[in-house]
Amino acid sequence: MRRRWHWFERDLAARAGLVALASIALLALAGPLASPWRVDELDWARIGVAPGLEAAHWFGTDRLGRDLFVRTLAGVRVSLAIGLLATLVSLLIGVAWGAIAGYAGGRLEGAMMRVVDVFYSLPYVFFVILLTVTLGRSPATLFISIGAVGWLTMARVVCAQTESLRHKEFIEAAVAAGLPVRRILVRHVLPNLAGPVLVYATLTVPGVILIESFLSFLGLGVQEPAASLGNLMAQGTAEMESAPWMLLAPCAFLVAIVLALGFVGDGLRDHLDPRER
Amino acid sequence: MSAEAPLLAVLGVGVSFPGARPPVRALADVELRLLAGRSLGLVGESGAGKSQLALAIPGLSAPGAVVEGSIRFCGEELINASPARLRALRGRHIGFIAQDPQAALAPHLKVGTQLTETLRSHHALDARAARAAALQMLERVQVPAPAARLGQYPHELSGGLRQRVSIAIALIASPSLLIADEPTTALDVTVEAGIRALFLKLRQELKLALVLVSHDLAVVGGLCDEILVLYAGRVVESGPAAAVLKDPRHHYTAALAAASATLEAPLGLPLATIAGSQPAPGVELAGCAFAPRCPAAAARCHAERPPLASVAAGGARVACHFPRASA
Repeated sequence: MRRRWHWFERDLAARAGLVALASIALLALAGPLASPWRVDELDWARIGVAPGLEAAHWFGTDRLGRDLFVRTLAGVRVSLAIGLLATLVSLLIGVAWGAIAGYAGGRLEGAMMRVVDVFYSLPYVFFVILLTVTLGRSPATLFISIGAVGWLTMARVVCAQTESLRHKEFIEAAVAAGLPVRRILVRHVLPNLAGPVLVYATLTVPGVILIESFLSFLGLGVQEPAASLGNLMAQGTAEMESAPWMLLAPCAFLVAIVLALGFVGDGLRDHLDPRER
Repeated sequence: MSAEAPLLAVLGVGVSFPGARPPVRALADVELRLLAGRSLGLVGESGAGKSQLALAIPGLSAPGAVVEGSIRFCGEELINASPARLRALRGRHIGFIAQDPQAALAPHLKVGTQLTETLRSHHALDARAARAAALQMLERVQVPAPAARLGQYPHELSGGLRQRVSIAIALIASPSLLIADEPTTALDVTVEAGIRALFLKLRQELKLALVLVSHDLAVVGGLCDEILVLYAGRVVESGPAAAVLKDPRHHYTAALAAASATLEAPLGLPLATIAGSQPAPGVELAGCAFAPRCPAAAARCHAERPPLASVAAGGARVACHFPRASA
């Protein structure tokens, strides 16, 4: 275990990224407790004020007098949760689908991967609109619609990786020992997929956060009065000239999260890719 | 020969890859019988089809291979047997040791896990009983400090130990037939001697039938009762190991024996070699495949393929128009 983390101590960018992520998560959870305001509370006395110490509106207020510090951190919570959950959904479906297709090979693999191709070719936003209309607007719909598309790339990555693993001698030895297929998949194939899968997952999280922002921006994602980084930015752009802080606060957090995840992902990829070691 | 039903009977087996370019016939018309508890050595140079035969028996031929003929194990036809039936036979009744046992151990699983998972896939045992059996099997294959090994990963073991562990995995479900594909090639000489001694001991203790693939006549001579010499996918000579090695009737077997390094060989002389090479894969010769390299080849050898025919009492058979005279 010591050796496993040694690279992390040397990789400054990855370490900084992880520290930044932890701080942001902690701030998002604990920060609102320090503020006297609630997410949907209106301060009639101070509408659209700039960031400052007055009345604890540290990030200022929006056009309705809601506190942006609390709303931004609530948005971070929502975005991080969607990012992690949707990644988890795509991870589960993608790994199972790809591993089964790659291990089976032949016609089954062809059929399963053609399904992936068909989904891939569907216009994404159209697909999400359809889902939102049929399932109704809710965070759960958002998870499902993002996860339902996110697994496609994961399935392709895992399928290719499994195919090359299948011809490794220890997999052939497991077949020669008469182990059941499920056991070979779960105990012999899956652990060896961990590297690429983990790395791709860390790259998926920021992607999902960006998609959420984009969908909320279009009005398909998280809805008022709940906050997400996406709908905060959507409101912010409307007031960009008169109240730039409304755009800057959520943007800064989004950039910080995406950059930090990128650094962690790069570090993991460098460490786990055999060609880089 | 006794009339006892053979444990393994291979008849007219061919393995071909019609999808390859050019289409390749890796094995043709192979015939062998192996009685329970006996051992058979498959000999030949690289590309002769030894491994293809070893893989075809438990149905492990590569995808795209077409296997024809008949392979009967305990009277049961294995060609076109269902995948589920083959899986149940593999490990349980037919143990298999791959060409490079070093790579055949899963790198991320403990030795104990790999032993018990094989055992428990075939026998209903609880974890504790399986662990005890694993310990016993490691002792049997003479792994020192077996209890500690169960908790170790393959990379923590030496090459010889890893080999012993893969033998233990192949044998843990107590199969009656063990197929070993060049089990000592990846090891150095002293370790190889230890593994050979182990094979002898295991065969006696477990009444195990063994199919041993090797390009080394000395290894086969020391371990096997019968020998089967393959050249370019066909059997060129078969018979009792002692007779074939002492008095090879096929010119190829004789050349192979002459090319073996032995301690008795005179010093200073280069090792004998066989000039030329096997026909390229996909090339089908009308006559004897060895004729282009054979010192005794005549016009007939190039035109007509010699059948495998009995040449002596005791079951020795040779596929040659002009077999060497008996010594």
